[in-house]
Amino acid sequence: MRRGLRAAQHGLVGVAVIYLLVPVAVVVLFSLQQAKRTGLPFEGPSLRWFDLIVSDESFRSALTSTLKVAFGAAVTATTIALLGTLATARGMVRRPGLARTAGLAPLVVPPVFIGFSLLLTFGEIGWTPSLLTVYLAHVLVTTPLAWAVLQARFSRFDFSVEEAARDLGAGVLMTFWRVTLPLTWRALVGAAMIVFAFSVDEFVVTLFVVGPDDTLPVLVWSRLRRSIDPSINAIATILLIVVLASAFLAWLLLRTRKGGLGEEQATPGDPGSLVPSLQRAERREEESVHV
Amino acid sequence: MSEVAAVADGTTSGVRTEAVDTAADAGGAPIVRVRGVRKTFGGVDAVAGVDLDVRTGEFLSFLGPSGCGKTTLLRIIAGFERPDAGSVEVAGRDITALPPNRRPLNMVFQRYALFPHLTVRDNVAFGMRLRRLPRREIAARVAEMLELVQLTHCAGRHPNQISGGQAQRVALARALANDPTVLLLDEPLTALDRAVRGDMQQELKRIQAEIGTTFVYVTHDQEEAMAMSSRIALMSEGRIVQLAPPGELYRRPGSVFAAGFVGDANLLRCRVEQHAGRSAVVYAGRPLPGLDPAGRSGEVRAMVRPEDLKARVASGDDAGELVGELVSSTFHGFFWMHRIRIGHELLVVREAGDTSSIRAGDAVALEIEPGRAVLLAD
Repeated sequence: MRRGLRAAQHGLVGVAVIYLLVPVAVVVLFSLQQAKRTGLPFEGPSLRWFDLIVSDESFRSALTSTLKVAFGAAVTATTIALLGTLATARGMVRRPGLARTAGLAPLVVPPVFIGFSLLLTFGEIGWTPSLLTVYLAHVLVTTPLAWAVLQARFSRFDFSVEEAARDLGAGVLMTFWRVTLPLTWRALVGAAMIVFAFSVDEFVVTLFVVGPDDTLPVLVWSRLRRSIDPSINAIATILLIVVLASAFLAWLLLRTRKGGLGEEQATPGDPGSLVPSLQRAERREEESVHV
Repeated sequence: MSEVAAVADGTTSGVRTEAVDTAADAGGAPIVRVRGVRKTFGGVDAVAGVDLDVRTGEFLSFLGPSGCGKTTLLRIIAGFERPDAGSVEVAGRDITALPPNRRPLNMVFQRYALFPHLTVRDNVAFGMRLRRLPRREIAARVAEMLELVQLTHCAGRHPNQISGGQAQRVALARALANDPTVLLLDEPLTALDRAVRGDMQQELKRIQAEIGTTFVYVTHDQEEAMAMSSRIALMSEGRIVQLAPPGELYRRPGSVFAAGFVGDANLLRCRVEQHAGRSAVVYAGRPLPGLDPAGRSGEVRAMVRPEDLKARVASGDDAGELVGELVSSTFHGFFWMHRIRIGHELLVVREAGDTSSIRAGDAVALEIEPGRAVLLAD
């Protein structure tokens, strides 16, 4: 009975994973197709479509635009989130609950609404759609992502180390540079990578505010409107690689490592983060001194 | 500077304290001078007007229950809180407006606050590197400090590889490496195990005697304050209610609060009455000897420590003595605690030794050790 249930569970998980991964596999597979069509039977493999798009001027300019926007958004959104979450966690904000909500709020506003309202706003103040408006829109929608990551980090940050640094003679900037940054850079870079991945792939809001320079998702979409061209598979695959790579990097940086040197220092009430045998040995030593 | 030298020469705390006291009595300026300091948090007075002089080389403790403002006062001296009013001077210089990094003080934090990304050695060197001291000098000073706290063997370890007791010693070495004018300690032993705490008390006293730096120490533990301090500032509700050496605080508490907070105390509800033509403090119908009720009248409170009361089986001719009934006794290894009812009050009597001379139910006569009863302010 129990075995049957377990098998059913495994089967369900398997189906779900296949459902999620098959479309991805299909795109990647057909990007390697030799024939000039998207469909079975598979012929190849061949890199001809990658070859084609790499020499395609519109693809190259879209890739450059995408990377520019993503890089700008990563730096800006992470900086905003850093300042906001740091001030909130340090207790410098009078209404911390409100600040936390505000930082995460854009997550729950529908992207179509954000895109449309940005289009109207930029129009009102007379800004023509361009990469600048795309960048600003991306900062808006990605700041909550960085905010969530950094808020989690600073919520378990022991700010007394900052006070200790101040006490030992470090000014505000020196304290950040010598203490806060070395202890939190993983979260900062991780947050930036998540923002980067999200921005590379962002489509809905981008479509409203994009100007003459397409980003990659917009390029894919506009080509699809004409015809299903196998080169789109190649573009989508490149997108996938960029996003996966940055997400993987973010995961590497953000996973919690027990007892890692970059983590919070050990406290006596926290046995998991101490080296237990060492601690016990030391206790014995100190007790024997006492006796 | 000569004061400091004299202090450094003193090997025992007794010698040190006397030396400093003479210096202070001779008109030596206080090393820390706090004047009229106030701090309010959300409408509540955390520090409600404090004046305080810390003497050079002393071990001064702020003692009080949680919420009495002792940590806030320390953080104001350290520069982490801005007082709403008042001033703080260190070595004759007004530092009220200076940020913590520009004050000649260093602090040991309650939860160590070591830099987890740096080794023990780099933690200790942190302040000196900021001051851009020569590499050699830093290395020598780090070695000296680690030796002082007996952690030379841990120099290369990270904070998560050492015990709590060791971590607090590193924090101490890190603060002292900067050669502060005054060392501030914010309940540094609270996070430690009980067994380690006793050792650390001795360790702190030894280190202070060795280097002669002025220590200002915050604690809520009265035994800790008694065992370590040359003077105790007893705090309550944002004020210093009594500032005295431990012995005096214990023997001559100035208030009901002081009597109850430091050590065990019997608080006797007395009246000032005319007795044999003179005014006397009367308890349970009997005048207490040695108490001068000058200027007091009506209800007053007197205090007697449990060890200053002697109880014996009443013999019948106890005229003029306090007589009560022994309610219960408990044995504590090397002493007994007797609870004795006199009228409506229960008095606690401590009897040294491992056998008791009285039993529950006995009618007992109580005698107060001459000169040991104290009249308390209201």
